[in-house]
Amino acid sequence: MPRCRQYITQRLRQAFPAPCLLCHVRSINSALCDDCTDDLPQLGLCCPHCATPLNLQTTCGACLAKPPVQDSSLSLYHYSPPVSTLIIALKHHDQRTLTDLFADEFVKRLAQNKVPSPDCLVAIPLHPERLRQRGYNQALEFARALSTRLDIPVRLDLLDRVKNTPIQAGLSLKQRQQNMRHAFKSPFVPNAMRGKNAPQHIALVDDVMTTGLTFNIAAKALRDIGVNHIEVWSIARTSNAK
Amino acid sequence: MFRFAISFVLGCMLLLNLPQLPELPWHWLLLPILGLIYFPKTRLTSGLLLGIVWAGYHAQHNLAERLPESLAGQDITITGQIADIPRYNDRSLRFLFLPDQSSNIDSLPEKLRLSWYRPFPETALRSGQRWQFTVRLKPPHGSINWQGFDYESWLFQQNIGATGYIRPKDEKQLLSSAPTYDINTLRHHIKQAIDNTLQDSPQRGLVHGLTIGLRDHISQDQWETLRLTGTSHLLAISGLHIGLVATLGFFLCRWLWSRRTKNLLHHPATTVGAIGSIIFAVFYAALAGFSLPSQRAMIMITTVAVAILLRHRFATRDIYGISLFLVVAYNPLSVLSAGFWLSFSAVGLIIYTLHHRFPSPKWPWARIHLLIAVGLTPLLLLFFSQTSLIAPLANLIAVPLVSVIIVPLLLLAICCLALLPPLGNILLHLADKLLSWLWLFLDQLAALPHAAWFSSPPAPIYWLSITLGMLLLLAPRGVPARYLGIIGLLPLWLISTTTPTAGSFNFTLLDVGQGLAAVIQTEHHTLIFDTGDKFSDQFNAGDAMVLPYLQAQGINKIDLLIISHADSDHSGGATAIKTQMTVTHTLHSPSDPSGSHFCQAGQSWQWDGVNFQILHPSAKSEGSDNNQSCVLKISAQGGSVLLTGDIEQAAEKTLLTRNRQHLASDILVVPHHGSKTSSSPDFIQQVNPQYVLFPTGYRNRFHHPAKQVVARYQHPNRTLLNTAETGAIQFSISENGIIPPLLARQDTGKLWLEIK
Repeated sequence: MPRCRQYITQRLRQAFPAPCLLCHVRSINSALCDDCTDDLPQLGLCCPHCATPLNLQTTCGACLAKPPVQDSSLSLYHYSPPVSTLIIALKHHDQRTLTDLFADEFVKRLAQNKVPSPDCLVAIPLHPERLRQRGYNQALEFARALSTRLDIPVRLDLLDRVKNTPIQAGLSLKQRQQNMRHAFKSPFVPNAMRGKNAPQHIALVDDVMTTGLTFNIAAKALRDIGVNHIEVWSIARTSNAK
Repeated sequence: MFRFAISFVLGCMLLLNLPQLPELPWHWLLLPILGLIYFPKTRLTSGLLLGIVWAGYHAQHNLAERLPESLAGQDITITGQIADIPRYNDRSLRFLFLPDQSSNIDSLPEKLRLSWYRPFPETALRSGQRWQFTVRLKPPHGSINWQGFDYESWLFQQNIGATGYIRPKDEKQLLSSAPTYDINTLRHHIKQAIDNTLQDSPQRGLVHGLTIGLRDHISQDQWETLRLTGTSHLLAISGLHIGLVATLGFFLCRWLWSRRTKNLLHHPATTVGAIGSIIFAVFYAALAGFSLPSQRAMIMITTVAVAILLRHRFATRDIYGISLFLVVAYNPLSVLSAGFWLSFSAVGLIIYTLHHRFPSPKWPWARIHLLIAVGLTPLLLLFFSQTSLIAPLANLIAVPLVSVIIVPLLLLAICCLALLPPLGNILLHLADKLLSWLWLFLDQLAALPHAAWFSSPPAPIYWLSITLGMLLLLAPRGVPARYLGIIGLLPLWLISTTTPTAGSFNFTLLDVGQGLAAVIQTEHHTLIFDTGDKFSDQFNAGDAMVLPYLQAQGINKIDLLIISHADSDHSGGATAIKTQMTVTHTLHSPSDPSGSHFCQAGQSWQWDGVNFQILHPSAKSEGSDNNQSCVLKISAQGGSVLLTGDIEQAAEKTLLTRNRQHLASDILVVPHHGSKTSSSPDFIQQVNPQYVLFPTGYRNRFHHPAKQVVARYQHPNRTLLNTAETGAIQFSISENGIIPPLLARQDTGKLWLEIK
């Protein structure tokens, strides 16, 4: 079904080129024209554990001092204009065509890394209350777009958000930590007798990685059910967390 | 897509403006289609060609569907199905009928428009019922006067192959009742419910219009107010209303889907909302009977919703192009209707003037009405020879009130009427009250002295210049020298109609069906002789034929109105004319009880070098109403006209004895539509006209003109013209004599107009 839709959408884009979200030039791409896509602020050298932008490709001081829960992090762009605008459009203004663009770019990036691909994708869940307001979970939509391209399933049963946390933007790290405590819980109960084991290698997917706190807490919940290797994938990474 | 759609529409127009339909075999369709597939670069040419062939195919089909002459005027017994909601007026009810193709009558058209005159059937006629009746049919025909509503074109567009009436005496039999679940059944029930609640409310017709797209209970006065204030678009269930309902459907479905969060993990709420908006839009469009503006809005909304479903973003012009193409492809003949042009132009203007403008315009809602009013002026002048000057103000109030408050209220009321009738009644009354307040406001506006501007339609080259000038003026800020658009508008002040010079006059016999209406125009004066029939409370020749003609001629004042006698086919349009135009004097026949000033033999006057003379009746005249008809003689140096009303042989005899010397005329409008009781040989001999005009209706029930009368007039030096065959007839009588007249039917020269 998603493949069928992908095919129809492809033909539709050829017949009716869509205007670029940034410059209104029409192209057969889903959201941005090629030029605008190339102009997006790529995340260059960064810490492989937390994706903090660095001048060298090396583990950052923070991760040396206190290693994060996840094993590695991967992000596409700096969280700065125009990516920040696009992410807001994706999150709040229903521009879900952007997931196609970001997924395409993300797959290209993955191909460069040559690491074994995860067994499944898990999107950072939204609390039901928030989900109801928004009508969809942008992280899940992004994960789905990746899933069709990579042929890796998305698992919905591994992680739940049990606490309705307030919006994190504008809060200090301390306050964020306070808020996020026990925000996630896995409803999954491993049962070796029934062959019901947690997957060994998981990629956690979200739209933006700011302090990495959300990922950390979610990863912890996954570690608790026995996940071995956790990667963290996001579209954009902020660079202010130093 | 946008340019392809435009070239497709141009192709359709090109074909439909040909005077004759060229032979177009269907396999010609392959040419543009193969062109589109193998040579995408030539898609504009292919679009044009596709338009031509597609419109040609439809035109050919509709013309072939017309009733053959052999069946016209025959009593035929047919069975079939009623295809729309029957429309009642004070005299008859009308409906579309799809006859079964029976074996004993071949070549019956697919669609008929039938009338059922009083007495009406005891059980209400319903869409979907199957009946057997005996009918008398005639091929599609309408009055052609250059201006005004073109019924014949409308019948052609709708593929109605014949009109006719149900013979009252013969047996009528209901074969099967209407289906229970059917959109027209639902519309019927809604209509009944509204009628029950708002029995005597003057706004009932408007409520029908806004909910189920039925416009037959809207009174002439209400239409007039809508026209003068430029708000008639509100009554077409249009993009505005359908868009609103679709938005409602979107949020309702989105909300319902979000009730269960598990749903949202599988399908985003907007996807479900998009499906909901399609369902609501299609449903409301169906409720509106799929009128053309509702088709357009429905397709546009569906396109946007499909884009959401497939995660594609269409460029706005593509959405516009898609709906333009689909609407025209569905019925290419719709490019003939004013509604098509107004609907698509209004939306086009909104996109053109508000989309992608930087900085975003301030007060978009106030601006939009002004821009639409300005931008549509060329089209309004072309179609209606008038444009409302107060439209922006009227719409600024009326649009939000109707679209945001009244329409949702009415739709809610309808839902409530089914579930909770008392609440539905209250809501309906509330909406009715709001409409009556709105009407007070609109009536006030319409009564302003310069509410509307009347002008004759500009010549094509002027019209093009005005349109281009308008588009340049409304162009985005970046376009250099936008103010030059003003130059394009200059022809607006140059529009003038050529009035006759002193000593000459124009004489026009209008085509008002069975009846008489004539316009005489001198250098500074206008005389109307008779006003045509009143066909029903909603429809009379004054509104439908005489006034549009006068407005297109740039006439805004009538110096003298003569009603030859009180018969409805001569006086029916008088009230409408008097209420909408200044009439300085009126003369009636002495037998007419409604008159205060009467025509009398011996009255005569001169206007701008043209002599007018009343020849009949004299003060002592007696006899039937017909025989007391006013008889008017107009003479100038170049020629003369004799108008005789409905006089019969008795009055002719009186004329021959008393006014023998004045009877000789170049142009004669025959007495009593060419009835065999008039036109005695003596009279004909004395008048000895060069042109003999018969003001008759097509296949009228009196069989006018009588064969023996026509034969009596036959003469090698005479030209006989019948309005049923020629449409309106326009003579210019100058000092040099009479030049052959312009015949509206031949002059209009459209391929669907039958010309004998």
